[in-house]
Amino acid sequence: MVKRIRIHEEYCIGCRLCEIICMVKHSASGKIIKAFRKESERPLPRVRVEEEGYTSFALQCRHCDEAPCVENCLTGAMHRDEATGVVLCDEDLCVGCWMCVMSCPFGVVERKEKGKTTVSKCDVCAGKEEIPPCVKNCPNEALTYE
Amino acid sequence: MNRIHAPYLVVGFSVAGRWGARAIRSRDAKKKIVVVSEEEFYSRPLITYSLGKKAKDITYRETIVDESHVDILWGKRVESLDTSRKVAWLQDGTQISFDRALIATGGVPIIPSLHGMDKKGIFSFTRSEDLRKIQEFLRDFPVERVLVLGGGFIGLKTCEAFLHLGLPIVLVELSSRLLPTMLDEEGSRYLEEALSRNGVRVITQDTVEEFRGDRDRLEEVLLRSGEIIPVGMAAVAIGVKPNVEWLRNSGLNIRRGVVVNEFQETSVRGIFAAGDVAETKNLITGEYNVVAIWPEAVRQGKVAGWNMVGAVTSYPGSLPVNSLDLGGLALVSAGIVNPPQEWGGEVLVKREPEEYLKVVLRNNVIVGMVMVGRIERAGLYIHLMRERIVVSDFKNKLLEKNFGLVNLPKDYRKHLVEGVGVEV
Amino acid sequence: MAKSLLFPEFKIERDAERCISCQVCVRQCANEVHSYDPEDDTVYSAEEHCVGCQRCVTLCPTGALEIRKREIGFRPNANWDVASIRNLYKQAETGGVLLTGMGCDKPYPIYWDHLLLNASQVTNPSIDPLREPIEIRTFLGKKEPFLEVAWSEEFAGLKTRLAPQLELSIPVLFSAMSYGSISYNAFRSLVEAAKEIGTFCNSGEGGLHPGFYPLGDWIIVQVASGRFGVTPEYLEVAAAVEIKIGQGAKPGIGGHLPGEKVSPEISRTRRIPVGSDAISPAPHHDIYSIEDLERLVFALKEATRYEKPISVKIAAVHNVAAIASGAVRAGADIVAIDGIRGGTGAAPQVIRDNVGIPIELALAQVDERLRKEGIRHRASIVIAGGIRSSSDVVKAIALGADAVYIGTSALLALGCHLCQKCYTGKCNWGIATQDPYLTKRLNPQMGKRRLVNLLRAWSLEIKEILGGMGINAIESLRGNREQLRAVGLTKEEAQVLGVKMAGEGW
Repeated sequence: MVKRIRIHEEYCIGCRLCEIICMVKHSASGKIIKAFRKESERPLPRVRVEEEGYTSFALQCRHCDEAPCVENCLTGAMHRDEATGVVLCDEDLCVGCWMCVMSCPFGVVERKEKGKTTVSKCDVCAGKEEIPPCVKNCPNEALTYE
Repeated sequence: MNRIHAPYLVVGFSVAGRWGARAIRSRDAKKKIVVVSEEEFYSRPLITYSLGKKAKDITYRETIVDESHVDILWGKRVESLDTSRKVAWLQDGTQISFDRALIATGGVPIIPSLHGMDKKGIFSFTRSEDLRKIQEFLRDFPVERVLVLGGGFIGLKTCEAFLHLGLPIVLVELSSRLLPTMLDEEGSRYLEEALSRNGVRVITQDTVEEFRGDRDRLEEVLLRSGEIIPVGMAAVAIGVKPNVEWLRNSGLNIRRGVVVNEFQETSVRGIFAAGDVAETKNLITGEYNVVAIWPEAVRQGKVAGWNMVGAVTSYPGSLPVNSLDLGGLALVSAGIVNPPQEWGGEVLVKREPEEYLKVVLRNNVIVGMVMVGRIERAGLYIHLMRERIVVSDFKNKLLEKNFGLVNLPKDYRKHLVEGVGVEV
Repeated sequence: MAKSLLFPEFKIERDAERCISCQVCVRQCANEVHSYDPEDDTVYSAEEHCVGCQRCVTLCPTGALEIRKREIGFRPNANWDVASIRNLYKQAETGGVLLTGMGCDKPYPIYWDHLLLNASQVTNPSIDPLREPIEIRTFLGKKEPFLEVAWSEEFAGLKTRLAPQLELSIPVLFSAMSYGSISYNAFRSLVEAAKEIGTFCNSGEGGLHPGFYPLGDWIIVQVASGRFGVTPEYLEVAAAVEIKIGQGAKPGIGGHLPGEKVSPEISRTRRIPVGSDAISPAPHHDIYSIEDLERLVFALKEATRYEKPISVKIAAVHNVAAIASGAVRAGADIVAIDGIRGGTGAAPQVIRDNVGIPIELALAQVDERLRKEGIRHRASIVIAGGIRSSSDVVKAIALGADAVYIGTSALLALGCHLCQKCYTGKCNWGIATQDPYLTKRLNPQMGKRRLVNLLRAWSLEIKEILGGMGINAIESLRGNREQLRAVGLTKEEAQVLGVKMAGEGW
């Protein structure tokens, strides 16, 4: 079965370490201090902590089985990686029509930083990590990968 | 005479046809699917993007359905359909008898009959050959200014392309504002301002009276107001209509499009229709109309395909949704954005210099939305609209910048988040 | 109000080279020490509010923070140490009793560190715990002095009716910490870990939340002077009942849970109205003698149909041996003794740090007294108060205990950093708090796992130690003081402990 990042809102402590680590992992250098202090363009975090009162949880692409963003993509840039089941956006093919942005019921596909005509979404770190860094760095196991 | 029997016949092999065939294949791995496709497969919306050089070409990355598992008759056109005998005749005389058929022939551009329509340099934007012709024209002739006729969705997509090419644009729209069905007045104003900032001249409440040119090539246009504007090229984008001419004598119930019920089935059992050719019930108004957009083509294709194999699935209704990005201004619209006064609904509005958000409610259910500038999480509003979620408990949060899943009732939120994503 | 003379206890060093203004520290500090200024994209820290819990330090992703004890440059003075001066200033400002949390932190001798364990060499073989079984299971409850066996044609078996026992797969239990003093998630971690390991946790004196009733087989419930939450079901679901007479951190003192902490859930648990103060009187007002205690012990035995062991918990005070003897004579199946280093959620600092005696001395004396009186078998001894490691457990058993209670060690396993601010209710680690924003910080699945790991590690170590001694069952070590030797102690101390000096043979 395809592994998914699971969200446990009861244990999200709202520290946003997942967001920070995600930004670092998708930055040019991948080094936390450099990414924040030296790199002029900081990537958007692909996981977002939603907070309201005492409730908070980290939310990223759910990699839906019948993903509307994939179905509605005009170019096929948004696609499912057959091997991993992960929904990925091929930035070279993306034309920035924002069909995925308005198709995603979770609101987790966002336009990329200014000046780019493509979208930003969770890529489960492109399979480069055995456990996604947002999961690994969650201090309270509010995100698990199973 | 060539005779073929098709347990499943699919006419038209673009979005709806492909998703239909995929849905059939997902439930019935064996029986033959015969596809008749006039054109090669490409992504129609990419025509403008490709012209504007945002996309390399108009090819779609995936095949959607494995082409080796369907019999495709490329370059063929169904000439007529005998619904009582369940037979389709192709232009070349081939006769295809079928058990179930899916009509997915899409739409054709509406070409107005204006003086001078035969001049060289006047194009529409619906077929791959249109793109090739425009590109050739732009290569061969110097164009200093281009006229876009039609301030609707395709007209603006066309503007987007010409903006990317750096061409000065004159946009002519007959009604008093741009995107009159997709946007409200305020939304249109944001759009018109963005276009002006990018050097587009927007002319409303006017239209082209005549295309003129000394020789066979377009040189200027005469507007109804009497103004004459020199243009080297014109794009006619006043709309698309369902491609139903070939079905006129089929006996199917056809109004603007092929009328289908909630199972995407036409007035004749066993014959289904999906996509831009189909006239479906609107999710919000309940009225029948053609909603010619990609997402609905996918949904309708899937529903039709499933029902064709007997997996009864109903289509909840079509919901118009559109997005645009013009001169750096992103814009999303969905559902009913200009609610009739007698509805007595509620309209929530947030205005900021670069942002506009309008949510239209009826009986505490979102029925329409406009987002300008910031379009992030548009999908969440649209999802609430589709699922007809009562928003009374979090109505005061709807306009907040961070409105998100966290504001939804806990049970519903958990159902969304902890499952395998969304169930369609 | 004038500016306080109190100086910040801690110094926060933020490495400007490393800080990325990610604000994790800002979001994690319940004491609102850190704040972010968007104008200059900088995080500032108000040291005066820092309690030194190290939450921010632990979570900082760049290691930019360091929190250290502030060295105050008072003129050195052997009498007037910094802590005394600070306390004096605080009382001069507030006029109140100084409160604190956790166990006594004064440098009184820790006798565990002056006791050394024995091992086998040549004449008695040691045992390899990886190859041979070593039994560390133990049973708590009254043991019979002799067993009567019936032997006839129809029936062969035990005639003596055995007293109820608690079976522990490791001689370690989780001490009494009430839901109220600790969070629901913290308590849940303890119960679930106890279940998984095969030991018990103690409800404390705050009653038992109905959510834990199904786990009652792993819970010892307390009956304390306030009688909070004591109902028939409470006694019914539990594995054992403990009468709490005293607590090591505050012998002779009652307790006071302020009304603002009595939330609907706490109210359900304690069976008192929401918002009302929960006052545990200093004494049980129906116990003024051993005879009174006996009446309560037997009342509870009656109520539980003599099916559950009844424990009596007392603080280690000067006359502890005689009191323990009285408790045993009053019918206690287990006597729990809590030493001066035992923890608390809230206690007057002056009591915590000055009243009571170290548990090692109390244990040695209680064990010896009960043996001398010939009643040692009538009750098990469980000790509490500052047990830190598996070696402390083994030494305690050699000194005469049946098992030990661990409280602080368990909390440390859950993430406690010993800031001693439990009484503020703002525990940044989500342990000693009821604030829903903070209680989320303790994921009970993680808590359980960490506790289970701790006890598993200790049980492996205990087996190693026992194997080295050539002992294959923990019960064979109980009270075996020949396995202990004293170092760095006076003769009198060694005598009270009942151990020989290191170097002395058998």
